[in-house]
Amino acid sequence: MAENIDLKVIEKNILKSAHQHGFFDMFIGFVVTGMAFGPFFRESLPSPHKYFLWPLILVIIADLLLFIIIKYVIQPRTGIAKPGPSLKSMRKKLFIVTFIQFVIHLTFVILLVIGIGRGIHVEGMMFILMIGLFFIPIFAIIAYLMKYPRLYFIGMLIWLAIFINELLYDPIDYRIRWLLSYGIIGGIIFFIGLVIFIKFLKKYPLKKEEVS
Amino acid sequence: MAKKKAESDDIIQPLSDIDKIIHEPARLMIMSYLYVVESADFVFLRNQTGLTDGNLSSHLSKLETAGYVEVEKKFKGKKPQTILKLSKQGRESFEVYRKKMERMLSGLSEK
Repeated sequence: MAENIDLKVIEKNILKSAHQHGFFDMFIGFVVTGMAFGPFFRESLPSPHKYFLWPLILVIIADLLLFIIIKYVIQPRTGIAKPGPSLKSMRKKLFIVTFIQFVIHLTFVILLVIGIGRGIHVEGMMFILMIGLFFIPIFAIIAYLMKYPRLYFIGMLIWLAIFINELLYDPIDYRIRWLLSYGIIGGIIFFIGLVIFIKFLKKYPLKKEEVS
Repeated sequence: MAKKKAESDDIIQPLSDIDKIIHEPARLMIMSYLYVVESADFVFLRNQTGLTDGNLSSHLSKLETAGYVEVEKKFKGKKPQTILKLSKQGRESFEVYRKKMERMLSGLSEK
């Protein structure tokens, strides 16, 4: 038990406890790895939006898994707490950041679907730089708000996957390229999450007498 | 000499007014966690405070008796679940305690 009582530290501990289980890392790793298999599966998906259907399917599967694991595996071990006013205000900020990210993504998707911007070709290092400028700050803001330092690292890894993908653009077949970039990086993120998740399960065994 | 003693008494005097229910370290920890959340269950508090089941139950009983914590017992499926929250009185007492301690400790550091 800590000897010093600091409400800010307590809030930080509560925030940290929300992602200490490592399953969020597994969630992100699953989606990134799944992206690597896109070139193998998306051809069998209905056109014209097959490029967007595959990530959508992945996110839906990952969300369902996340919901089930949190409700039946994680919460009985960690317990449940309803946030107080300052934690609620942090959640609001987090919601605003993720909402802005969602709106930017959606705008890109709509522009691509209706054909605007197809004439613009941003390739090579400029593309990597643009993606980096978009991804890394978003991950960094969420990591800061959630007191989730691993997310800085995950943001960098995802950017690295995009970099490798772009670097191997010409030399090899596109399916192998996706496996080497998103497959390996996604696998690393998933593995890190899995190790943390196993440690979490060992640290917090389920006690039968009391549930959350 | 007498003046020095009077000054020291001014600083130490608030100690006797300190709420002893809250002042105990484990209960202070429980109150602090419940202060920053709206409500929490027993498992959450046990994990966060690092107290054993028996120890936590015993401190919660004292806080409940003092009227600082509201305890709601219910069932989730067939398993019991205990939801805890600070009462209005508990929240106010904790704020008073914090202010008193801050005032007293800042007074000590200046001397």
